[in-house]
Amino acid sequence: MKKMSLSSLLPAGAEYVELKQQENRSQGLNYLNGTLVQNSNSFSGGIMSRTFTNGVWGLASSADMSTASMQKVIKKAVSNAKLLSRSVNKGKLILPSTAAQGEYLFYSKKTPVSTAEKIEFLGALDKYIADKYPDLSTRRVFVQQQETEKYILTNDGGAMHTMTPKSVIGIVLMLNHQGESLIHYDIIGGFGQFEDNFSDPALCFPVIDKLYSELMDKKDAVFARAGTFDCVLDAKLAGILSHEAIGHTTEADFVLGGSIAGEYLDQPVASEILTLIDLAHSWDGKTCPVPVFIDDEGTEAKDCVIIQDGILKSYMHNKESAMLLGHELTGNARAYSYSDEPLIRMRNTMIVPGKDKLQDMIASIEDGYYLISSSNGQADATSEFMFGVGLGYEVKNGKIGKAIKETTISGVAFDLLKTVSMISDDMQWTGSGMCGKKQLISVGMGGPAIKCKVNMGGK
Amino acid sequence: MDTRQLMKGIMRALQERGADKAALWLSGSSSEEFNVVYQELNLLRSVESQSLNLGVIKDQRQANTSLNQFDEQSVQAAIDELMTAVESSNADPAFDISPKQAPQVFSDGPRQMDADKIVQRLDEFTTAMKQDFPDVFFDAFLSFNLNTSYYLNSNEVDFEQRTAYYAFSTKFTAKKDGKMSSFNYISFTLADLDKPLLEVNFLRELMRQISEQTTTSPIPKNFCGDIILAPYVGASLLYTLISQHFGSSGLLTDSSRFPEHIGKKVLDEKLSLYATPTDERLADKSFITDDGYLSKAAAIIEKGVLRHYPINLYTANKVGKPRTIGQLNQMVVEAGSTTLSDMIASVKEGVLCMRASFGSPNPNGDMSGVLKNSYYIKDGKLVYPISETMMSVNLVDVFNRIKNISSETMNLGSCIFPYIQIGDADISRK
Repeated sequence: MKKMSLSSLLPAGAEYVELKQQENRSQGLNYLNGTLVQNSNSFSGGIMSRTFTNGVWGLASSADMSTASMQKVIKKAVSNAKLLSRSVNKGKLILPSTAAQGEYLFYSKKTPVSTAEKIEFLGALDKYIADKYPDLSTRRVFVQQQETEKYILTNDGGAMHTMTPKSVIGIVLMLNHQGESLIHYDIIGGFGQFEDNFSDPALCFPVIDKLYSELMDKKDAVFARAGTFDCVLDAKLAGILSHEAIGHTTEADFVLGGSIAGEYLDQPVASEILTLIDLAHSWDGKTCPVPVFIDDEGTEAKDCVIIQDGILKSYMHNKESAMLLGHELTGNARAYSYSDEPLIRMRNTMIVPGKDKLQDMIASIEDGYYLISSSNGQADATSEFMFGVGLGYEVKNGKIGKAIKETTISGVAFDLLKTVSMISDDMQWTGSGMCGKKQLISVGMGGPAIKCKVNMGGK
Repeated sequence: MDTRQLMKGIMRALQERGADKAALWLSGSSSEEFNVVYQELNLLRSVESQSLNLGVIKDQRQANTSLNQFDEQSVQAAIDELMTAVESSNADPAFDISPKQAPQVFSDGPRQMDADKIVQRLDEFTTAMKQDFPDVFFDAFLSFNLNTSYYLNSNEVDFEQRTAYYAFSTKFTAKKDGKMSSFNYISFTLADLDKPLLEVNFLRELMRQISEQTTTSPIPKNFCGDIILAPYVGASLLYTLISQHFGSSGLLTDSSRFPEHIGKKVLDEKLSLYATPTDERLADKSFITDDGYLSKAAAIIEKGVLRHYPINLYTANKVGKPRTIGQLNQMVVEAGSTTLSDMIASVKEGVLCMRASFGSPNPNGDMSGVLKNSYYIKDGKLVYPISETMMSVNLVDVFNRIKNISSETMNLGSCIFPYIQIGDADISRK
């Protein structure tokens, strides 16, 4: 992206102004049963100005990335705020500020891989599946790569230029078995360009073999029993639970909108062995799937410890919510496209690993389930959640048994967290997640496996 | 910029570079979005956007690219990238573009935004909400959206459409005495702002319901009974069923339960579902299909019998079926003759499902979901709002066990849908 010269355009004397130039670039390649049904690229760039005056916001945007267009957009944003303040005028309000400056461009340092080479890579995966597993009714392998480049200036001193890439490969296997269609899939990769995440198709073959083996387990799957059981939620499911059922309730805009977490600050909401953090950019010396060093309001991004030793400690904020609640800024304001307003969004939500071994956790279950992957998930402002379980197994007398048919788990997350009795000492990130709160945005979800009591759907 | 000239220039360039077939979509949109946040007008957002999608077929290989910068350098780079990408694809005889059709221009919706009316309707909405429903927390937006699209392909197809409408969305929850309801939401599009927003699509009733949903109880015991699906829920379930079993995804992945069923009864005979892309009752119309045809109204399901597969040209060619109506975007389910209150009165034991939290059904249609904002029904009466209650159903069975379809309908702007009462559903408590 050719950076515009924005600093001279920042209007003087305004209460608060943001200027943004952004490009979203993406590529999608998709093999379905050996045919490349998608071979597409997309580029979308533009500019935005947002201003805060008398307690209301004006925003304007355009795809035209010229200086004249930015001047027009700035004027329009100001006039939008003025129009609204005719109906709502709260007087001059001071937004908090912990402005930061920096450049974070995560371009791969490896030799670029061309589209033809990526197609060849995917073709190798498709051929491996077709040759080794001819009994499958459908196979799909795809690449999705996204790059988001942003250049943002704010009149309280924030300045940032970032390029955050993500690349994933998805593998979907389907089998017709005794008149029933069985499906299983996985997505690998995450933060980084294709070159960073994928070097040799053969390194993906074990993932395919494991997927196929798990799909075969589903041939003999039994219905889960409805009711509440001791379960081990593997890292992916625990990560989704953290994000959907706890994370959203503790976003400060949800709190101001009535979320149940608004009642719980500084109160016990989980087992005392549980700590849950929304990380800004790093954990254990490593970069998280969605690193945010400065947010889209120019605020320094900090880790937000949501639950510490079972106690609800803080909410995630943007400038406006921090002002309204009198809390410290956390740097959670993010927008998806050039024309979007920054919303309070999670970045990398994780439960902190514990001290237990996964095999000990499973061995400790007399009659319950080991739940591995989620097909989808939704949660409520009450923290009531529902997740589909794509892969899970019965556990009887500490031993893994038969696979279960796809089912649903549900409950109230703050109740479930109080039942957490073991936390594994390892952790795993899911970097392919997209969260859909008004705007789609990349999120990281991670953590260890947890043992807790879960309400299973079933027969 | 003359967008027609731009597109024709790109079409020539693609053909000169060796494209056998090419199709271009140019879309422009502008939107003025008035947002209510924390129960007050908070943000006015103006968005100008544009996008140009280029698709080519060469030696039966296919590729496409989209861009939103139309300067010469960006366009040339996109053409170069596209023609390189298509060489790397593999061939499939199913790739094609729509055949020659007479040029057409369409226009629909309000000519311009009435900003004063938007502010008036939102002011009125927030004031009424605070007065009539003081326990309800809500956010909302009301926007005016103007979209223009041009479709051009190398078979001399040249279509243009301009559509405009208002869009409203609100999300709400109630809190009273430290107890709170689940959230609920509704989104719809409108051709005008003649009515107060609370009086559209039963919104006032939804607010009344959420106000009393701060106190909920579980159902007394697990049972097999009736579910009355509110229009928002029923439409979502039916759309999922159509996509999975009659649309492209089911047919291309060989997972449809109804792959050769034109003219056969597939769903309950009380159900008729129509593709209605240009229905006058809808605010959000489509005159052109995604695959470059003129939109056509047709019955997809007529009295339970499958009349059309709603599939695009590629899927039709790939699975060896005729392409008849294209993909489903706008739909209407024919209303019945039973009122909602009569429906409730007919239920011995069941639930009124106003919202459901559910994931994708498995390929066989089995699914379960948590019932939200919903009510327990016993002996023909709504008894109380329920919590932590789940339904376990098969999606195909749901639409084969219809007892009644309501006379009341909800018009969401791209869909008109009634309440649907189904029988023999498994309802369980925690």
